[in-house]
Amino acid sequence: MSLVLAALLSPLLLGIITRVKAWFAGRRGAPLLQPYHDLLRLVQKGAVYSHTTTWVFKLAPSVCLACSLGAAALLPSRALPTLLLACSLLALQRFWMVLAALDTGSSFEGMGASREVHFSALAELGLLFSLAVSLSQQQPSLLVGLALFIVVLAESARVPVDDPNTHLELTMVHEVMILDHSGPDLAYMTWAAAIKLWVLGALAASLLSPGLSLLELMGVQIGLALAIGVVESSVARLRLLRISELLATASALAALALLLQTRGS
Amino acid sequence: MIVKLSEIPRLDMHEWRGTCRHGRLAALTLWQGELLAVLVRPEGLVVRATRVEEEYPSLTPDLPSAQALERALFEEHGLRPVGHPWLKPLRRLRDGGQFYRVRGPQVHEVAVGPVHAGVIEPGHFRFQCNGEHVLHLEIALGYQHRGVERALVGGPSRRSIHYAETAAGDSSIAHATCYSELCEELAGVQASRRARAVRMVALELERLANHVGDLGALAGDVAFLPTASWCGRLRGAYLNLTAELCGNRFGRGLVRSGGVSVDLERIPALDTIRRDTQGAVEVLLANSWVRARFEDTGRLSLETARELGLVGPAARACGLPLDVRHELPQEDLPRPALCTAEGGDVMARALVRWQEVQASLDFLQQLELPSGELSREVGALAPAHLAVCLVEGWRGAVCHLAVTDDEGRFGRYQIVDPSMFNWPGLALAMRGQEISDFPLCNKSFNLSYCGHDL
Repeated sequence: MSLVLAALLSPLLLGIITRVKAWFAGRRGAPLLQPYHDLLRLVQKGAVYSHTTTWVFKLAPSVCLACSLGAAALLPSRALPTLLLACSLLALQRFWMVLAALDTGSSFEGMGASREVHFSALAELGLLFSLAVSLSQQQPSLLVGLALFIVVLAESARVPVDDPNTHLELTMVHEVMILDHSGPDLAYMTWAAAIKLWVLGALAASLLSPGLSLLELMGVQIGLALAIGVVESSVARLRLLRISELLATASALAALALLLQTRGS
Repeated sequence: MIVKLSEIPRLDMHEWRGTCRHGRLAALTLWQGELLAVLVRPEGLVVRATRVEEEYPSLTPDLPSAQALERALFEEHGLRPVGHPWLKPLRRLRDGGQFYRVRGPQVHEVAVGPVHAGVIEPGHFRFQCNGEHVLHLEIALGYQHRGVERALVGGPSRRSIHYAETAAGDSSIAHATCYSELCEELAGVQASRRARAVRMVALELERLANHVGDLGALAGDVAFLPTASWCGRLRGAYLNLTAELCGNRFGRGLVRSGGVSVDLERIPALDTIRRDTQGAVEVLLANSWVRARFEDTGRLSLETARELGLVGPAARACGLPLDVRHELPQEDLPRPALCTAEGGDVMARALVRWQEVQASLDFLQQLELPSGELSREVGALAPAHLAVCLVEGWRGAVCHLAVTDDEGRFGRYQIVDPSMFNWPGLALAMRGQEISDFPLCNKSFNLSYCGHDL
């Protein structure tokens, strides 16, 4: 059931974020269901492949989508092995996305891949600390919540870490890695990224307030999308080399929570 | 400024090279075996000539601001500047062009363009990078070379003004004003005070639209959406003011030799648009996330700016008080205040733009239109004369130079867009920066490709 919800509702989150940003900017904004139209349009198109790409590039979209769906099926959960498996599936997804980017041989995609790996390595630390804190305590912790929010922003390639709206290749992180994908491949990649946002939300929800019903989970997801929209409208993007500091902050917050907890018990 | 060709001071090469270093080089052209340099000096414009054959010792090693002008002359007329450090074609690219390369195990090359992701003009950027750090950037332009200067030779014809208006489309008013004043000087007339005031109004509206658009685009480049959206709308509102004035959002068809084609009954009310602009820009400049991105990004020193001959807001952001409206003022008309900033980074360039927006609005709100006729007859041009005209466009000093032949037709017409001097400024501002900051730096200069390529 959670798999179906994630698959069907995750593009709606993107629609909500776009709408919130439009509202802040004083515009009417795209329809909430625009991401669905986009995906439908892309699926109906043909794909273009550069001569330098190999089977890796063609396989990657399917693997990425499968990983996202797999992780979505596992959540929400409180069991440590399940959570770790979900995190690992997200890591596997990233691994394949990076492979596909490197497979194109383009300097842009290589830069994007290098940035993605750099930032995700730092974000993972924050995520692991948060896991450790949350699994051994019942009350949600503000510190962990903050850390997880930063991790979600980084992992889902949102402002202030990445800018999903930019057309400037040199500044992109996630977007530049999928520049060469087209048609159904791009649809898979975009959909996988949307599901990943859902998965991250579900992961954060299961850590912070366990035992949510699916209806409550949907509420949390919409709340998260609203929060991301507000953040994206009120801050600018960080300088690329400063992002490491932000992610280190997330790790530090989670580590602090862990420390406080060990002292308390 | 107009001077009879036979009355231009002729110097020997050594003296001429020395005199070129006094003042700011605005144009360099070749006419009948003589190299003519136009310099902006505190006392006004001066022209100095020297005789050359097929080659001459290059000015660039001592005067880096001459590098593009010398390359253009070499390309167009085969006049070789001996000792020019990088004498490659300026506009006519061959075999994809040559580039400096940095070699090393960690160094990689990133090539961007000429086809870009956004709907912008074509240009090629070649970065030598060490990881995220830029060691060197080389900019190759010329993809829009369409022979504007050559097409103007033999004029003025009915087409000439249109070539001027489209030399750089976002500076239509500046280029058209420059062309028209040049023709007026050569014909020995001056447009009425009213006509010149209407031109100034249009020029300031052009500046407002572009500066406000740029501030919005700077916000967009750091993903600060509110200002990006608001300024996008406001740019349209300023363009519409120009459209209300003359029927075209870019002011085409307004400025003509002898005056203007449409009269301005009164200055439009600017209170609402001013309040909206103030709101949009103050939110941007007060946001600490934005300041963190703008400050210390793409820094150019005052020294470098002076050496490269930077003009316009890019130069004023480095603290250079260069503004044609003040260097060569029209004494019988008021002018907006001169705005400078310190630091030479993206923040300074944004601040200068914002100050200039305010200064232009002040100017427009206080201006009282003088009386006078709309247009005066412009007769035949004086034969065998050289005329130079400078206008402070929103991007910097636009310079047009014309030499008339014995029949009073343009024998040589040179357009120097501010972009000519400022592109190397962008390349140097990127040294030691992060490559991901290039779009932001680029936008903070916002230079013209077609104005450079002509």
